[in-house]
Amino acid sequence: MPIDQAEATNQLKAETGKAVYVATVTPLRGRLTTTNGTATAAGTEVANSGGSTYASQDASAALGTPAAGSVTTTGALTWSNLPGATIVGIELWDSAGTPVRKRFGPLTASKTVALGDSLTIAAGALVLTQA
Amino acid sequence: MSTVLIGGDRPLRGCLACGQADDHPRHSVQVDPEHWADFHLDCHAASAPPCPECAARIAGADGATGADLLQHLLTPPKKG
Repeated sequence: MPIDQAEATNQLKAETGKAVYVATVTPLRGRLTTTNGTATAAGTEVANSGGSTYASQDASAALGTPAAGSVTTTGALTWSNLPGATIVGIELWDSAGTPVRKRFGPLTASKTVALGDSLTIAAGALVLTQA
Repeated sequence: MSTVLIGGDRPLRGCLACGQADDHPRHSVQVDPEHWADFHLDCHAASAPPCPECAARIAGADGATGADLLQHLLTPPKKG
């Protein structure tokens, strides 16, 4: 998943000794989006309607231990009771008072869901790299 | 046996477990980056191994399907 530009800058400032890294407030939470974001702008998160109870999901527990410059999800991520929508991407945000976006990325294949559906992203589907 | 559709703009989808195509609630599972599998919640809960997500969601639905199941899914659990 591509890195948010502000997060990349945060990391570079710490790496070059220009500033202390502004730490991630855990857990990271996975948001489903109906439009894809860019490095500088968030996508559009799924919005509840018709009685759905969509909520971002804790992604920290699904992430493995980083090694060799990357980390992959080792567990599935599931969202329940979705509204009718076409899901096109996923974003990872931290849990700060004002959440900070860390990563974003499109689904290879978007998915149209109906009100009341559940959706599961398979283990291994999300890969974060520092290449 | 025909299936009563919920209607509206709900998409028609097959169920990988039973093969039935209808617009009832589904659990969509990513099987690889390019493909999704759709299951009726009750079919997925009864599959081997059973899906815990679907089992939890249909708990208390008393075998309801279609619009009745959707109503169950959208009804907040009673407190107390």
